[in-house]
Amino acid sequence: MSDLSAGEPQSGDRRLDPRFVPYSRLGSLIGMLILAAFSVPPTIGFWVAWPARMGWIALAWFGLLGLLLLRAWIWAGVRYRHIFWRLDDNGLRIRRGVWWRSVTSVPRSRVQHTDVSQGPIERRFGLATLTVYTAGTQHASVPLAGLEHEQALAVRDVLLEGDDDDAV
Amino acid sequence: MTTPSEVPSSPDGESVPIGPAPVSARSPSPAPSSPAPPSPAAPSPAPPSLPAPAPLGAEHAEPQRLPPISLLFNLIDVALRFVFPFLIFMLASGGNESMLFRLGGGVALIPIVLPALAVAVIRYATFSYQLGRDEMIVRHGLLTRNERHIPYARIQNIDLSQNPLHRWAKVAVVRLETASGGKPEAVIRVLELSAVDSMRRHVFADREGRRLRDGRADAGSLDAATGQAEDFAGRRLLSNSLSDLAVFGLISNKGMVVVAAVLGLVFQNGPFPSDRFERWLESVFGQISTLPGLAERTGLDAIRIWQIGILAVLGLAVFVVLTRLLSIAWAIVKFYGFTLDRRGDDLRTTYGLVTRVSATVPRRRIQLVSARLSLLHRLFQRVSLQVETAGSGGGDDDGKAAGSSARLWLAPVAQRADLPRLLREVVPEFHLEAARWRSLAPTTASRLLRRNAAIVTATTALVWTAAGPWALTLFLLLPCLAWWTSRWVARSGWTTTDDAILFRSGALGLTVSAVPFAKIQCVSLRQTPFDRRHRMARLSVDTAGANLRRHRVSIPYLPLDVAEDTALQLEAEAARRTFRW
Repeated sequence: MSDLSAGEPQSGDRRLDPRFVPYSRLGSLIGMLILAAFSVPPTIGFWVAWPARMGWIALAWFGLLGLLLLRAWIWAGVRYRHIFWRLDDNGLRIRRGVWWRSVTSVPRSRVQHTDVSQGPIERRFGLATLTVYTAGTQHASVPLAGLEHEQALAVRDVLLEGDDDDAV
Repeated sequence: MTTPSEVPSSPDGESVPIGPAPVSARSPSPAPSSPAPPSPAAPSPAPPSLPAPAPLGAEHAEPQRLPPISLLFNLIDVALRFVFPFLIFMLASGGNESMLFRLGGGVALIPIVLPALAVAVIRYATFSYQLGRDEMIVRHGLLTRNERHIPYARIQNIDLSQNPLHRWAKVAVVRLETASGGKPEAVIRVLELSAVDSMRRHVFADREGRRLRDGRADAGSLDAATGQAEDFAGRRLLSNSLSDLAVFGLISNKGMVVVAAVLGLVFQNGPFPSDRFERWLESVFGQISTLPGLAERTGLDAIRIWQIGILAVLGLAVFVVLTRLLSIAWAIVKFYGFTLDRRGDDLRTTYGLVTRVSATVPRRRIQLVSARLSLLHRLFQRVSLQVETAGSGGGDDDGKAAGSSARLWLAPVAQRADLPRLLREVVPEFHLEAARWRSLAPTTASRLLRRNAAIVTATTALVWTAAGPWALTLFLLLPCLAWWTSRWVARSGWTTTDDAILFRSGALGLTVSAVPFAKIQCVSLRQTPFDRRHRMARLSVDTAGANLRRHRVSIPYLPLDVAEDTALQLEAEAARRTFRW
């Protein structure tokens, strides 16, 4: 393989919870609805006012909105298939990315603290976001969204155990 | 040229203002105001050669107030902050306004000045610090009482700075740095040098003692323990003479910084209203335009062009020389009498002509080491050495502006031949002498060449639409770019030793950065679509308080399998080592 194998699991790699796909679809749908709520009424207004000139522009805009929604719909699944995580003796390792790929490893002894957070949509799907904080700069926080809530809590507990060792 | 005894403000040599802490026979009691109780609780575990550690049992050491002179300095600070605006107001109002108006302006400042003075007085009256057993407690505030506990173990460094007035009064501004980055944890403004000394000794000696007591002595502190006798007195690792600093100024080319600062002063709040400056400019250019011949002739003949060319070259030369001279002046003012000392596990740098700065960095706190060897460095056979700590790092303005940690100069300039010795002292655990450099992916040069060719072709096509076939001359760039990239690829490289990862890069100069495994916070691999096509990846390590705009260990164009293996290795090595702040 000529890439970081983000497209296929390696031994020990785990996928996110499958509910991540509908979750991110719903998320982007809500985003699109907000965008539409702000942009569609004025567009229709312009269309009514200047039907000759604005007709094509309005149609193009609606088409673009539709395309964006379609892309978000498809992309949720593609993204899901390209995120893997694993937890082993060394620590947490996250590989992700479709075009731009990355592997981020946080050694277990470098975890400063962790957050498990749930937004309203996440709560609806039983998902949670695990955020691991390090003392680093660029990767001061490493988020992993789309874990099942129970599992996020379990990972957090595993990451924090034996933590007393790294105190000065 | 500069020895510590020549530090401007130590005429008596008894209390060296800032410099290696004088290890006198004086017992290490805290300030005279609080008699240190004998330490019955903790028998000193240190070797007998060590001056008895500061009272470890002094759990209830009394809170100590700042010396009365501190109030004076705080008031002076407030005054200075308002004197300049007032003076500027006086000057800016020019001759048009009556004296009454000017005084009125002064009176208008009173409601601002008085509260500021009151704040200074209250702060002085309520400020106290207490050297506890394991932590320092700083209290201040009248209405909102503030009590801050700073564990000694978390103190990254204690920095001092002294302006000439401070030096005259034998006091210093003390900054306690922890890893929280940005602002210092506590600023004590100002403290007598004797009190600073006992504070330093308390914090650092206590740390040594605690580490030995806990039996957690790692290589660094074992080294410190065995080498105590000589090390505790401090050992001079480097001192920069005036000529060294002149070379440094020449190399670092900070002249424009000085020019910008002066211009900013002149235009914004200097005694130089801008319309007056414009009139001055006009008169100067007016004189130029009345130079014989220049005004009459409408067309430029060959001689004229030749003359203008000479003038431009001369002007440029003068400008370059002037900025370099200013840069030398900057280097000398900022780093005058630069010394680097090692005392046990602590490195201490001291420098400054007007404002003396002293920063102490425990060696274990070094997150990254960076050595810079530019073309000019090579010409003079010199090298510059900087380190990053997790604190805000004592006095490097560049980093403070960035809001993150700063790089600390360990050596503005050192002889190139001296570098291995310096590195052995500063980061012995790196084993840099064992480094065997490895090159980047073998296909890197051809990949970059193709990329450059594509970019140049695209640019040429764009320019052609505007300039026609002349755009083809852009292709002359290609050989230069090819030479540059092939040189960059050939000279860049990376390696791992038993305890650190190193990356070097540069076409003309060379910069080397090294991060010990124990300080790696996060390992990441990244691939762009181009990387995927060429089976390459970029390997980066993240450290605490990293300055992302500077050279660091982020290695591009690695063969994919090598990058993946190395990432795994780094991950394991980092996980195996506990991180200590």
